[in-house]
Amino acid sequence: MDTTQNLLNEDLQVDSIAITHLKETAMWAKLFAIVGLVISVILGIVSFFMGSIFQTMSGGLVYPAGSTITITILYLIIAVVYFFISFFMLKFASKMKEAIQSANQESFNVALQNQKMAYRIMGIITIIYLLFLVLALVFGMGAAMLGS
Amino acid sequence: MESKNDLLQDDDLQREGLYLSEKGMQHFAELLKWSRFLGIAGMIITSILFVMVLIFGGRIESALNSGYTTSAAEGLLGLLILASISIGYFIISYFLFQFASLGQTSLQSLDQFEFTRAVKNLKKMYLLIAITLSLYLLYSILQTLITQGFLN
Repeated sequence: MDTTQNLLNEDLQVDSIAITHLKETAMWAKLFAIVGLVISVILGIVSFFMGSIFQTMSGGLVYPAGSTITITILYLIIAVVYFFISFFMLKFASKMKEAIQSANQESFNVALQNQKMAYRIMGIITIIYLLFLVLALVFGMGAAMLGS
Repeated sequence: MESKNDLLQDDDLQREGLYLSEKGMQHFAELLKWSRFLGIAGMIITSILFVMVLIFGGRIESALNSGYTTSAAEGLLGLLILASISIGYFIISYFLFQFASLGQTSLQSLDQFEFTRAVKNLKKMYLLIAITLSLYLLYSILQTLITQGFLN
């Protein structure tokens, strides 16, 4: 009995209801990932024309030298990051599906690892975004104080 | 002596054979850590966005009307979309936060029930993202059709 208890207590079992939820999660994650991959590829292609698109939209306003390249690089970075997030999400979805279908423990672990990777990238991007927000706030307040 | 596999076959819940092993738990724990952070950050950002829409709604609307949109109705629509995005994103972040909290509890107490509840919240989050994404794509297609004059 003790052995039974120990064996059952050392791991967290995934019950049938959780498996149903995970199956549906993988399905939606796959959709999210495929759409993300398509959008990131389109964004990557469009990024090369972003500079000229911005100039056209601004009604002939002349941008400082090098700004077109900067905009292109910025959009390329966004496209690459979004591509990797979608890629890890797709890997999560396919591995989770595989794990559920064949009760494959290794695939289940790999699925969790891929989801972790996707969330880690999203977390790092959020930290960078929040840092930029704080910097913008600090510089904005500084500029306002100097102006007055 | 019963082996672990025998035990897994005995139990109806464990018949599927999947469990969080030590390695899996490490991945899951880190996943929960990032989910918690993303959930909290998302809820804070959307709350600020929603408050901004409520306070500066009029100014945003007039800015939209004078800059990017052609009519007052379009400006108001832009404002409503901004408010809807903040509400939708808040709910998504809430589900993510719930997933992280319940997942953490399940890891600490090795509670299957809490793990199932956590996964249910994750599913809800993805479902909401999929719905939002579909609505956004539909809106983009409709907008393109209208601007190109196909629906006039």
